[in-house]
Amino acid sequence: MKTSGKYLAIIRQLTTVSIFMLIWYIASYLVNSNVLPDPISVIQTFLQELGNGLIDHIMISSYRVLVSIVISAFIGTLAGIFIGMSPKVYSISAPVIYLTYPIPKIVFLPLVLLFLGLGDVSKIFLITLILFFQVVLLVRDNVRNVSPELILSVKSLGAGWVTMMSKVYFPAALPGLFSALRISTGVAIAVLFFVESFGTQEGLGYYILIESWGRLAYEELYSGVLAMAILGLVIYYSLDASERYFCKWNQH
Amino acid sequence: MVSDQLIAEFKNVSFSYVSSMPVLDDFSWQVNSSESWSIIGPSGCGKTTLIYLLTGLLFPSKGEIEIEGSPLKGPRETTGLVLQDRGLLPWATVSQNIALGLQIRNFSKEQIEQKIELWLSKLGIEELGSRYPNQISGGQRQRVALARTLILDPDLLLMDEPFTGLDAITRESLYDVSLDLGITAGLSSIIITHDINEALRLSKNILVVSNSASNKPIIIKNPSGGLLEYPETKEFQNMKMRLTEAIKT
Repeated sequence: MKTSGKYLAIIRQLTTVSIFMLIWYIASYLVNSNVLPDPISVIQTFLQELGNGLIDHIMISSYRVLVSIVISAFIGTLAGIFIGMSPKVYSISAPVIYLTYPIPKIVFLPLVLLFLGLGDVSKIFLITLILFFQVVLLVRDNVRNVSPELILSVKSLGAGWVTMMSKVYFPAALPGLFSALRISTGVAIAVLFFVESFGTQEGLGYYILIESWGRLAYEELYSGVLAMAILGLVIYYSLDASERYFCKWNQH
Repeated sequence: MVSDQLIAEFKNVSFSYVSSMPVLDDFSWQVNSSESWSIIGPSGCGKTTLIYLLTGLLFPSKGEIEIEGSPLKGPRETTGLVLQDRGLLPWATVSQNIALGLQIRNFSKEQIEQKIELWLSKLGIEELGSRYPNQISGGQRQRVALARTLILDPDLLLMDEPFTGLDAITRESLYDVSLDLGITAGLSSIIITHDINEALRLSKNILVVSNSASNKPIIIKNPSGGLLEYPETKEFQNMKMRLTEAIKT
């Protein structure tokens, strides 16, 4: 992309955000109730709250999501490649995957809490589980779609197991991995909110539900929502940037 | 220059994919070193199977394939394979694709860079080194595939419809390139095609594979194959008729 094009894109994005803020502002003016404060006072509160402990909640939530992303990306990619590269493993595993994939993983929460306790481990486990299934599914399908001609011609060059993994299957898996993380980040943050609402005194879920909503502090509540939105935004932009870097070949 | 040393031999080879008609039945065939061959026949007749058997990626259910006198046990260092498109790594640049075989053979970085530069220029694709396969044309991709294989200095070059799907002008230039490189390298080449002109232009020997199981292969000698002016001669027209007849029967 040319530099001028880059600036143009940034200006366009800033315009979108401004229009959103404007609509919010007008809505809050029309509603005229402290249930919907205007964006300026929310942003002011947000900045105040950052120094007032909100930053710690953001950090701990980010930590929980990031660790989950890293673990699920690692294990999910490995499992997806393993399943996708062998038609036999594919057909054996398909019923198990299709049986467990549609279950909303949040229903395991009681069991997870029983086995892993109330701490970070159970929260990270549950979010990892959600991301893991999405990653396995998309990586598996991407690897399965590698053309047989490609596999044969690389093998004919004398490629062994390590080369097949590093030059064929792993790069083939990457676009699937990034799509999977992008699709499931929203759900992961929703579940984060839910699991942070009990058994902990840290995290954005706790901040929004207990600290803010619990004492009807609406501007604080919106600050928490804003923090969650920013967390999601940062994750999405990081995923886009990583994909641009690692999948240069896949860009149009 | 032409030696009569056997490079590849099919000895009464039978092959069938699981639960289907045999693709090869008691098939015998000999390829001498430095010979150029075309295999021509309708689709589904087992041409591609022949190539995969020769590569050592498939194995006969009966009989034996010998390369340089010893039975073939798996992919061989000096057998090159070029497939119709789709054989390049989409996620690797042209240079990285060409480097692949050399990396597997543990060449040093400097050696690889030198060789790549040489082969990029031999195939006239110097300026494409940092492009990805989906950013170049089909003809350029086949040049990359040829470079990736020829850089390994093979003595047996197998090509499965390498020029199918390319426009006539691109095909012509690729014929020239392959003839040029084939002759200078003195290697044995086997090319699968369904194009009679291509078979006659590129090779001195033509194996005609019919639809039925191929236990009696038809072999047609085409002594002028590979000569630049050949397509304009009367001989070429005659051979074309002969080959057409042979394919029909």
